[in-house]
Amino acid sequence: MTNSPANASPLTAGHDAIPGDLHLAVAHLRTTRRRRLGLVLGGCGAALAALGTLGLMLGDSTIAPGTALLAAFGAGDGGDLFVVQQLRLPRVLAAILVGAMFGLAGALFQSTLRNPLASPDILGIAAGASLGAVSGLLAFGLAGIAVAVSAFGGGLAVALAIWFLAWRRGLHSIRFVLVGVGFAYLCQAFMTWLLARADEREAASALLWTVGSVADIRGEDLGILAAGAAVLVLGVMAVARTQGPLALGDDNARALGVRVDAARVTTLLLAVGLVALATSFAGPVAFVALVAPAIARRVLSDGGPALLASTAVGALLTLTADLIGNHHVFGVTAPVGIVTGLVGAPYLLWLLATNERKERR
Amino acid sequence: MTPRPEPAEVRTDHGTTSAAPVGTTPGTASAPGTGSAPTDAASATGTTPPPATGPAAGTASAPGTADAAGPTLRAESVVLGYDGRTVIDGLDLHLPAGRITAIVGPNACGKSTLLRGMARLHPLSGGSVLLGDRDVSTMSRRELARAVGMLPQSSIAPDGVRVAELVARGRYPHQGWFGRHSSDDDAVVASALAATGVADLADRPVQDLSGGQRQRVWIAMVLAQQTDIVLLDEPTTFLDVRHQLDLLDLLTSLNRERGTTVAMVLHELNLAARYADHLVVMSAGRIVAEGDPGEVLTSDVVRGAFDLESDVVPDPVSGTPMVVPRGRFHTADRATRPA
Repeated sequence: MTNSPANASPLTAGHDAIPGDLHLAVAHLRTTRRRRLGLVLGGCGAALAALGTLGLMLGDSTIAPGTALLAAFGAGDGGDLFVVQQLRLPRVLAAILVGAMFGLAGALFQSTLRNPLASPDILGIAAGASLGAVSGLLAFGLAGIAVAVSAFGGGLAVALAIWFLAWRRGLHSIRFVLVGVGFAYLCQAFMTWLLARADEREAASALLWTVGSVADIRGEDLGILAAGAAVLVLGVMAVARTQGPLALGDDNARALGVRVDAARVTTLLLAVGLVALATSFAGPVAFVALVAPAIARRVLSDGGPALLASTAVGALLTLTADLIGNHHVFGVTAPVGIVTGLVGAPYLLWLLATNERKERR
Repeated sequence: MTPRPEPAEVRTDHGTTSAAPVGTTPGTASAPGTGSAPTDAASATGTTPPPATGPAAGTASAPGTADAAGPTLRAESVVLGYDGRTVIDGLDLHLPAGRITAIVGPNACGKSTLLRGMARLHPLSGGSVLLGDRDVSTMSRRELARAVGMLPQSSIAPDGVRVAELVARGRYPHQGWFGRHSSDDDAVVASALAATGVADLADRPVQDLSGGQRQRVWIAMVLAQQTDIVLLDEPTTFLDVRHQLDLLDLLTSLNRERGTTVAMVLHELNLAARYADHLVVMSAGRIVAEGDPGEVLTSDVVRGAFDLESDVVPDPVSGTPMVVPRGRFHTADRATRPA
């Protein structure tokens, strides 16, 4: 590269070259990256607006786009206004909100643990949150925000269990993922047991927590979900900056002044909180937390944690999947979690197939 | 930010003694607020003529002049270990300011652990590490990261990260809680890219680079941290000999032109002896010899530290000591083999 003779140091040569050009070039690169993020977020926003409008229009009765949008903002006549305000708008908003939460949580898990497989789905944290919600509903008769708290407890319990069994032996090890998979199965088994011994009506409503659906989140529930998400996002904003240095390795992050353990624990608590809150209302919407950050990172390809983009992509994925599941696109009606599962599972297989190659850096 | 005067008395063999560049460093100088008390102290010494300039000073290292240069980092009776197993038990090490220190020693002698302990990457079980007269354990990590840079052995370049982006992460300790990169940060990043000779790679993904280029990028990141002290844990490992020399030349340039205090763990004895102003030889968690390489690196020291017979001859290029190891085979003249 630098074939400079021994007495002309690259340092001196470099300093001569610095002033305007390189400074501008570096600034330009930074602007380019930011513009790219803007494009991705803008694209996702536009797609969300378009698909959201579609979600307001479609259903048992089709409503014209203009009427649907007006109805969404509270204008229009009785029938359409009721359908849009009470049924379709909450569902669209819930899909966006839940998807965004799973997307952000997945990005946080994956970046802070430096492992693309470390998503709450794979690690059983989503399953733990589901189990927490189901046991709260069926065994303890909880309702409302108490279910969310119970879900958080379930997710946190699984996270702690994984910590004691696997994290200390290295964040990258396959053991880490396998222990998580084991917990996912354990939680599923408990959940099936709880459902099997519950009475039929209860079980039918609790079944939601095994697949994931945004069909019945409205009114007060939507408000609680949004408020909780807002609080957690504030917390995420406080730790977001540590994700860049953390991605370079614990030693590098410490050398750059990050309090690594504190940053990681805070990040994971916030991510578990997001997963638990979303799960307590929508059930485990499969694979969004795994896939959304992967797509976001690939689109941005800047080596960053892609928190914002993952949030947007998660919302877009979930809204798309819910529209597909709700409107007979493939001839059946299915809850959103089944559609995202169909998309996510092949990606997981691909990731597992290629992951080993990457580990041999 | 005026470069410190060359520690001439140690460099007489190199023939480049008086070649210390006296330019300012535009990149760093244009970033206001980054220069702190240490650099001011450095420029203050720059204005007064250094007391010991005579080449006659020969091999004597003069810590007195170096001390005035900036904050020194030193370990005082530190105890370091893993899981209850003590590796280092009460060790003192003083890194001379404005000099290059190389730490050598056999595998598992604790040299990396020592460096990591001094950078606060490894917890101390006893003793203290002092920056100037401050115990580093009383400083916040960010505060320490603005004074001491450290390139650890295991660094991970995230998938897809570009060179300039990675180097920009060195600005982390200088940014506020919701800090955004500013134009000043860009200037520092540009300066670090130029200084390490990777400016033309700024937009390349780090994973596409060769090992030597990648190591330069990591050093650029540490430079972007703008610290007066830079520690490196085996920076030349996995590099071929050509790139090892490139890297050590680069570090020497930084040391001479910016007055940066450099301390590194090295494996290659002869390069360590050639490039270090201050050589530290460790064995079994203790320092067995330290000082000017010309005095420190003898066949007795090598035998004591490495359990290895060797001849130490003058390096034909630099005049510094060169260790020629003896194994069981391939000795040309049996008569010269020590009994």
